[in-house]
Amino acid sequence: MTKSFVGKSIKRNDGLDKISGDQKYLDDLKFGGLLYASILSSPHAHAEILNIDIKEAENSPGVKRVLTGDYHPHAMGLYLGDKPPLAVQKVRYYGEPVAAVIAKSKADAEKAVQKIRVKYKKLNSVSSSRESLKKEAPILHQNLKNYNHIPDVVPQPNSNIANLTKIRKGNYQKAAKEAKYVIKEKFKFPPGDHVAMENRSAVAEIKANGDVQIYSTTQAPFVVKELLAFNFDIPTGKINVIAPPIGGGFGGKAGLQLEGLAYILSKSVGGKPVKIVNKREDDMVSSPGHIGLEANVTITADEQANITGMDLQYYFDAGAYADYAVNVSRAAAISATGPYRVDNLNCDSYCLYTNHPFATAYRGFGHIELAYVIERSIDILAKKIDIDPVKLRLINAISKGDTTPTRSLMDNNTGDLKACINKTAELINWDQGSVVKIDNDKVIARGMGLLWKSPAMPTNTDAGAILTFNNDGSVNLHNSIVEIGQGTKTALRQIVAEKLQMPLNKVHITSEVNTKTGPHDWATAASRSLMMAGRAAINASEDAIQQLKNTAARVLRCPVEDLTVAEQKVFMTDEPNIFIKVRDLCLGYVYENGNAIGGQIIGRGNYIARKLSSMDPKTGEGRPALEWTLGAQAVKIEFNLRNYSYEIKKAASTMDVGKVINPDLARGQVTGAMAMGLSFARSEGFSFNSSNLVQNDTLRDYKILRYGEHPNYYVEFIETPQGDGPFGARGLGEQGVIGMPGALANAISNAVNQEIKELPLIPELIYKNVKEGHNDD
Amino acid sequence: MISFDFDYYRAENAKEALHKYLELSEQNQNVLYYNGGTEIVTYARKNKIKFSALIDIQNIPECSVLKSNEKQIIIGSSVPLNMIIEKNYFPLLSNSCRGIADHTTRNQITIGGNLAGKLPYKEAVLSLLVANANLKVMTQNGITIKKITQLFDKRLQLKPEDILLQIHIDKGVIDLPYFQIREVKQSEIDYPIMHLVALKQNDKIKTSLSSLCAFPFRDKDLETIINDNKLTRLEKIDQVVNNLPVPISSNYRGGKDYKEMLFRNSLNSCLDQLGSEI
Amino acid sequence: MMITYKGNKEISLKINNEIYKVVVKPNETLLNILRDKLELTGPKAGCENGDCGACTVLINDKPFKSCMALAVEMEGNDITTIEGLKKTEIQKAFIDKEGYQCGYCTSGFIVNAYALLDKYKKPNEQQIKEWLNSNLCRCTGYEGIERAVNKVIDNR
Repeated sequence: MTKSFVGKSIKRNDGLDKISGDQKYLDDLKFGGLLYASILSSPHAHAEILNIDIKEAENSPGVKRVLTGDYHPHAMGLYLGDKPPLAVQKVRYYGEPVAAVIAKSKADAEKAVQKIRVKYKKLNSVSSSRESLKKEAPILHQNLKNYNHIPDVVPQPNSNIANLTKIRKGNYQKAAKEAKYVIKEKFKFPPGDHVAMENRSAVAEIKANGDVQIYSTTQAPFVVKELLAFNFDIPTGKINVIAPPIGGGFGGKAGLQLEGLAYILSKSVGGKPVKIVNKREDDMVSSPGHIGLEANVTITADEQANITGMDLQYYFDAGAYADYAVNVSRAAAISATGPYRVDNLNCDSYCLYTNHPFATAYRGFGHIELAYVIERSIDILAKKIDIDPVKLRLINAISKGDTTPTRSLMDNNTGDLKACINKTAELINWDQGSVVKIDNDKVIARGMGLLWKSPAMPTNTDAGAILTFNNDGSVNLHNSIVEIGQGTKTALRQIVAEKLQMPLNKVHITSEVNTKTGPHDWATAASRSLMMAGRAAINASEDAIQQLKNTAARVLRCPVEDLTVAEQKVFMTDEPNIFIKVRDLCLGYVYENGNAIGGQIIGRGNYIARKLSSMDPKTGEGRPALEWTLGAQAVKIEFNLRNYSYEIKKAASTMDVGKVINPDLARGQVTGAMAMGLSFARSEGFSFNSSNLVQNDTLRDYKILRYGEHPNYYVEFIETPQGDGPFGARGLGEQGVIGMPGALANAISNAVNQEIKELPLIPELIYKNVKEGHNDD
Repeated sequence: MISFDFDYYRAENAKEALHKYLELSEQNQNVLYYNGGTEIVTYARKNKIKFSALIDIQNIPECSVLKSNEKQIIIGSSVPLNMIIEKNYFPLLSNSCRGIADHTTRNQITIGGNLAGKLPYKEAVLSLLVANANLKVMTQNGITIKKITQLFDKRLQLKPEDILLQIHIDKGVIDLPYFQIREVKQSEIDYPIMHLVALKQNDKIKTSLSSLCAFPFRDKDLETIINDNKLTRLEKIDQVVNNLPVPISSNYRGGKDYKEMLFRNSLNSCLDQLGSEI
Repeated sequence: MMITYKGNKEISLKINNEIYKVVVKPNETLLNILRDKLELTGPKAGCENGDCGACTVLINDKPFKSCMALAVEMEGNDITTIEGLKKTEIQKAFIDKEGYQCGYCTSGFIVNAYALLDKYKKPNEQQIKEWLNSNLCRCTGYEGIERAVNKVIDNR
């Protein structure tokens, strides 16, 4: 009789720590002899640095060192090296770090940093991605042609183009010529922020023997380690990065964040440990945020409402530096069409420099952005054809046998998108109508948005797992997944318990990641942790089982294949009363006379993405996508026609996730993502003044969804197994954000009978649309 | 974290607080009274204000009073907004304070702090203006009691050393018909983009407004228009909009056009509810 | 007599029913003192601007944002941080109903919800909203938090 842990709502392992205030995050840890840094940031969006006077700051009490850009004037980056840790010669966005003070206390550092005097000469700034392409636009990076970059990123020197990904599939021109219906639309929304509740921080120390120790609020400790090694010419093995549980990441803590700066700060004071903690304002604008987008969308359809072609131009607003944005724009090209069957496609996805705060990964990684413009366009197309938008989605939903924009086949693992659409339509009561009048002031409106996403990551992305045993027979799962709130560690424990058939409370798991002791793991990002680390954990469990059986076979004097491991015993399958306890085997078996055999059991497991390939630079052809999660989402709103405000009453989501490992945790990921998507659409995004300075760099002014503004959530899963996923599971952490902005904007557009093409969906924007719409009539 | 140093004094009575203020000022110190502190602490962290001394007036007994007697309601200036809302002696005041900040913060924000702070919204003043409340103020020349309508012009017109001790509201106004509406950009927890309060007394509507323009006000000329029953509803609204004492302000929370639309709608609802005309 | 604080001065604070003697300066907030000097790191510095609620503590049973209070004001008050709440109904309900994910806002949310459920036996939806929208959570979408509070109410 096997016990099942997979598919059950096991409680998270970090509950007691988190509800008692005991959970220690980086800023809660104590370090001996710590020095503190305070950063001076740019008050301008684009300016030349004429002079920095640090004298007074250097003489301020407690100050150890004041640094400016010339201490380490080398550009660094993730895929494209374009950003020095402190600005050199020029500042390119409001909030860019310009100088740093290291002092004995936080207060001393804060006091001194205000004594740095910087003279700037303001330069014209680029205020949008479309503007960045204009001839007269200032070029942000004159040295672009000399920057290091990976082959998949294609910057264009003497322009503001940091990357351009082209997709050419089928014959769009022909499709356009033959089309019965054509819609052509433009969309835009500004960059914004992740607003993880924990601000980023890092502590760096260089020990006497040259070992570099970094503590960081990072989702990607191995990326940090490898990039520090590359950029500072340190042997990788000399660097250790430790990642305690973090207070939310959402992509904003992937890549290289404050670690490089912390490293040079520590270096400048002889290797002493130095801590940087972002203030909220810094975290919002100095550190990278969410990408902005402007887009042109043309969709063609035939008489039967089949989509025949798409012509898409995505102009991503990367801000002043490339960071992850160059891959976000690429990921958006890979998934450019949304989850629709599109045989003829032209897509140009640009990653563009502007004088805005720069962008990094954000939950959804390019997909929430493209889904907004596609899902709005689908609704507009439905009106043009005069067909129900849900029906139009059903007709064109991608399914097994279709190909993606990069011409890779949707294989046997393809989820059932049509089932998702039908289920979501049912959850939101689509049949009751997309707009229903309640009284003179109020209408109920509904809107739908589809989603799809595949992890966008290097083709050799990997994960590892190591199982060690304790003398009570319990196991420790060593893994390098960062605890970011997602609950993957609990799911991994379930997987190990299931494989070893042992009680869950006998499966222990490391909570922090230590790159010296943990197995290599690309990053806790791209919703691939469960899939990859889950596969590695299965692998490690099987390895441990084999080793347990090998030793047990010698003791029990029977063939290995006659043995079973369960209930913390190794027993003969057909004679279960002949057994040895795991605890008597796992650290070596000891005979009565003292002879020992076997040695400790160490299960090892790994996983590497399979069959991924790069894309053809001219057509985009290739296989960059590991697996696709498909889904349909919808909202029901109550809209007030008097003041254009609205309440989101219901939000529904159906996703095909292959297999639900832990239903409660899966639901929590989806509701959280739905809220984030709704929040992004409803009220987020930076507001810039005419000088491109961010006007809302606090949580007082930058509004995220609050308690009571959240809808009732309806969440369902479809389980079409992912053949190569652990127990058939595929990723679900990010996906819930993707369809929500389109769904909400569709509902609002339905409510006011005007096509809204911007974000955020604040009442004033809707009012303006209605007013201008009426003026057009 | 506040990066600059300052001294902190906790006063036990108003006289000593005022004397301390004068004494420190003479020493060229930059002094602020501290009453709730939410604005002072957050602005100080961002170095948006500087001071060398704070005089905490929250322990002054008169400032902590919250009571109702036969004639009036007495509210000490250090009473937190939540306490006023919960006691609910004057529902219009409760309702117009309810939108300020959030519930937790309203345990810290005092009514005196809201009235005397630097932020331009001062939503607690709206109902006090239409109720024509009295303010009890400690001055160098002793205690004075004056109508708020005399003391409030864009902000409380007190001398720097003066201490707002109490607010007195005539009980005759507390059950009068009223109207109150607060509009926001999107989230309820936000500064308003328009907050309109009205009270109907002796068949006359009195109104006050915050956030529509650069500062809060009650304007007699506007009330004359509102109460002029020779005008049609639309004429009234048009004339009010055209005769605002200062133009409607525009910022990233709300543009002029949108705010005007909200104001027109709100005024219309107000007149619907309080029914000034035939 | 006017009480004066200049520079460093020892004050005594009653926190979680214990008396702490601590040297403070007038410019230090209650949050600074709790975290940096008393090792009570449950309250978090999410914004230090009164906007996020992660630093919420109770002052005489009422929720306060400790980033906006000066430590010197706090003498004579009863302060409760998350560390002072032990296995309360609402803490158990947060585990049971998945009221947390990353956990960073959790201390503040629980302290606030505890105060609400202490003041009202069965708060209504409007009261719950009015109290709890003082805190921000970025992970959960608030469903788990709502369910946790309702579980406590339903058990009463």
